[in-house]
Amino acid sequence: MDFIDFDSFQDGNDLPQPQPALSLPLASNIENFGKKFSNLNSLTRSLLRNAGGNSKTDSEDEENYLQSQAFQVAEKYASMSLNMLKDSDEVSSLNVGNGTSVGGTDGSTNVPYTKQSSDKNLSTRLSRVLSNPISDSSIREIFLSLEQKISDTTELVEPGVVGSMTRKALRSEIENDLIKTQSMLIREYQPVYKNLSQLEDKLNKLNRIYEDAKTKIELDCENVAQFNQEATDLTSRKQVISLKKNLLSSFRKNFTLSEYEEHLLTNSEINEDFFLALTKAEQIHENCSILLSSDNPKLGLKIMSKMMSHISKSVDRILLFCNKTFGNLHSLNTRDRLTTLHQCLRYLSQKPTYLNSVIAGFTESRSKTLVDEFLNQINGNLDQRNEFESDNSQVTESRRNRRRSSASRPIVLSAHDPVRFIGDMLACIHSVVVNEIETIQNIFNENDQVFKSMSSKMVVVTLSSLSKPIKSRIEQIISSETKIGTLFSIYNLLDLYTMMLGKQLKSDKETTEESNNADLIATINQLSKTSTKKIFSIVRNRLLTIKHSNQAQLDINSSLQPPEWIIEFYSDIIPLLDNITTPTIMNMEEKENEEFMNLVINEPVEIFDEHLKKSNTSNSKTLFDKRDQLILKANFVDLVLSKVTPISVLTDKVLQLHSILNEITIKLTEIQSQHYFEGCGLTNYVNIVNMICPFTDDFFDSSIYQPIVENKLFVKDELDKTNFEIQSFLPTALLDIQQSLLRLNSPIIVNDVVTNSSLELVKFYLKFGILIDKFLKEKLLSWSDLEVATLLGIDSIYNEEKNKLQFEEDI
Amino acid sequence: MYDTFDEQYAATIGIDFLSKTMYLEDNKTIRLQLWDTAGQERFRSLIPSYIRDSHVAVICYDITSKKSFDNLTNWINDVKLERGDEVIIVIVGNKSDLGNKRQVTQEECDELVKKVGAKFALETSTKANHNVKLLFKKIASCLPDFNEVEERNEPETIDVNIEQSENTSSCC
Repeated sequence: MDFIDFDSFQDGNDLPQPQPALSLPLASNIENFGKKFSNLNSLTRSLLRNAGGNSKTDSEDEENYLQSQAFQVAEKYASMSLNMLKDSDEVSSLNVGNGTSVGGTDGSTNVPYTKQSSDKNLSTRLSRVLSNPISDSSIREIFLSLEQKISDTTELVEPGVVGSMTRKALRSEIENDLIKTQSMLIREYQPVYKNLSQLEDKLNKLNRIYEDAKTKIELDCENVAQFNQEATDLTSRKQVISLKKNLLSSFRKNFTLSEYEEHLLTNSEINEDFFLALTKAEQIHENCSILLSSDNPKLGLKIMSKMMSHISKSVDRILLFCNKTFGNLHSLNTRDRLTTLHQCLRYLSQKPTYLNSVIAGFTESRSKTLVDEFLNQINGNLDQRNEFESDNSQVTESRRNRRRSSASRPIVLSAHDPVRFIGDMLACIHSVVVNEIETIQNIFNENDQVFKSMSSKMVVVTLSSLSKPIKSRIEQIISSETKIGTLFSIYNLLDLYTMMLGKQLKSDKETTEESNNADLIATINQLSKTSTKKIFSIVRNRLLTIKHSNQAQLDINSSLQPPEWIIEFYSDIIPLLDNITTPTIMNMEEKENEEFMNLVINEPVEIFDEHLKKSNTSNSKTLFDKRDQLILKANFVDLVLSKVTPISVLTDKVLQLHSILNEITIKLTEIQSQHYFEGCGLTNYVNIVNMICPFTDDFFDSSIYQPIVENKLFVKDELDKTNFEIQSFLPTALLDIQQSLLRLNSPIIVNDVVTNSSLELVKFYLKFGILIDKFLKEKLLSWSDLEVATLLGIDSIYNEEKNKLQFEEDI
Repeated sequence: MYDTFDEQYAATIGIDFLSKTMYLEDNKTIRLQLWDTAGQERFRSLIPSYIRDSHVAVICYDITSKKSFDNLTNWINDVKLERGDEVIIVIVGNKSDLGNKRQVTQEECDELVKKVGAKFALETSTKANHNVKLLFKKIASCLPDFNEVEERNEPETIDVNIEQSENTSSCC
């Protein structure tokens, strides 16, 4: 359908012609209604039954009433319809009388418009009827019922008034029927209506409730929103407050001490809680650096100063506690106090200055105690003894006895025995060292590295205090001692105690190498070196004294025996050397050891040589010939050798002495050989041979001695004289030589000298005899070489030697 | 002393020190300091220095060696020379596990105890750990009550070991 815009409509405009009526497929209202209300189908069916004239009512009264009602309604309706028809007829007649045609341009448009509207109505009605989706059977029924009402069709279709009246009557009859049916139908809807009305009330009520509820809810929502707002506000405030609270509590936790903690730090006993509070105070002090970095550092500074005050007071209390505890070691018998002391020291270990002051205080007091005790021991605790004796009013006799027994006896220089005195002193020191180590270990018995090093340090420092008195006492004894044997015993004691104390202080020594200089062991070691030096100096001084002693020089006399001083000297020195078990003498360094050995062995030999030289000067009463000098020296060296040979550390020196003795033996042999040659008158011949070529054992060729014939002594007469001399000298030669060597103490040397010189003579005699035989062709020497050897007592030795000679084929 | 026995004999050099804490039945604690003297002749001169400050002398002999028992008198004289009657002398016969080689009877030992005025005598075996603890307990209980004295002195004992090279056991 086209619509005309109201604003754009103008009277002059031609209106568009409506479309002819369409056959619309409209469903009947009844059917539609029936669809909407399921129970209406039964109504429809009853209506149809009523319409068919075959209606069978259940109750006559009800039917009559309904019929009367229906008629009334039908009449009303019919009258209304008739009025409408009349109105329409009048309109149509007017339109026809005016001669206006439908679609005329100059006339009024009312007529066509009315016709069109009636057509429209009709088409609407028809379409409504025809388009009813009523089944064919129903339509047939409808038409059958309609046919029953039409009694005379001709009248109906008659164009006149009669027809019109008939049609109108039919129409009204039908309408009446319809109205009746409709009213009946509507009546059926009455209970439904009633129900619906009731339902409407309920719905209205529900609506009201809904509205009320809605209003309330809206109100509540508003309240809730307000509440939420408030809650949100409160929550945010709460968050802010809790944040502040947290901040404050955190601040309080990190930057303040509770009253109890302050009490702990200032007045309470030092215990676990005290250290916790102290740690907290320190933490606060440390945390204050954060406050100092803020814009206003005043608070930080204030808290810092407060904490510092607490900390310094606490540290003072700790120091006081430590000093008091160390001042009275008996207080450490309780485990709690010891634990607290450990805690204090552990705390102080973070503050080395304080710790060092505590340790220094402790070591100082212990050192003083130890030194006092030691000096009491040395000087004799007579004061204490006097106190014991006088204090008899309060103590019983038995207790006094016990006191006496517990009081240590003083160390006295008993019977002027310095070794025992030093031994007692060192034993006392040993005991003190052990006691002190035990005491300190008992205090610091935990497996804590800090305590270990601390205790080691304390032991070393405490015991170092004894170094000075020990050193002075022992040095005094060493310096006043002159006996080498005693000094050596002192050295042995010191050396032994160096080892024994080293065992006790081993760990301490390892940990505190820096305190070596003040170490007790170092002191004792130094003392042992002092004793060594003292021995050294005594030996040197003694030798120096001997060197310049006239008496010592006078000891060298015609007996050719070693002087007394060397015997005395070695009687002191040898026990010392004999007891040496170390690689070097008294653990000396190599150089010192060598120097000492030279002093003990070489120096006396040199002194003796000097004395011997001096004794041979013109001022001396006794003059020694060369042989006697050699015998004197040989006797001296032999004595030294006999003393030092068993001593293992002097092996090198023994070799040296042997070498000296060998030299002396060779010299003595030479002298003795010369004596033989002179006695036999062979000296000139020896010289002649030596001028040509000296005889050797390795080689002898008589032809090279041809020039000897040119010598005027190598003649028969001269050789006869010599033979005579030999025969007169040799029978007593052995006795003579033995007599001359009688004062030579070493029989080995004597034997060597005699044998070697005799061998030399016999060998010369043999070779000289060969030369005489060869060049003078005559045997001028009466005795054979073997006979000469027999006379000199070396026949067997000579035979062995002769076999070794290279010229045996010439003999 | 430490409930151990070392088969390897290590000769004492000089003077060895040992300490032992004894817990007595009457809740008293005594710390014994033991000075173990060497048997070798060269260390013998050290012994008197240690005797002079000791409260107890434990003089040991070998029950399988009559010679060691005979030497006891000399050692006791040495102790008495230094300390007079102010020392507690305890005689200990060691190697009691070697009863079949015994050369010294218990009666002989008891007689010596009476003769020299020793406190008591006990036979022990360090190897079998027999009577060693009892010995130190008895020694500790014999000591005078030093708590009564103002001065605190650790009790000290001296272990005069006379078993020389023939001694093959050591108590440690």
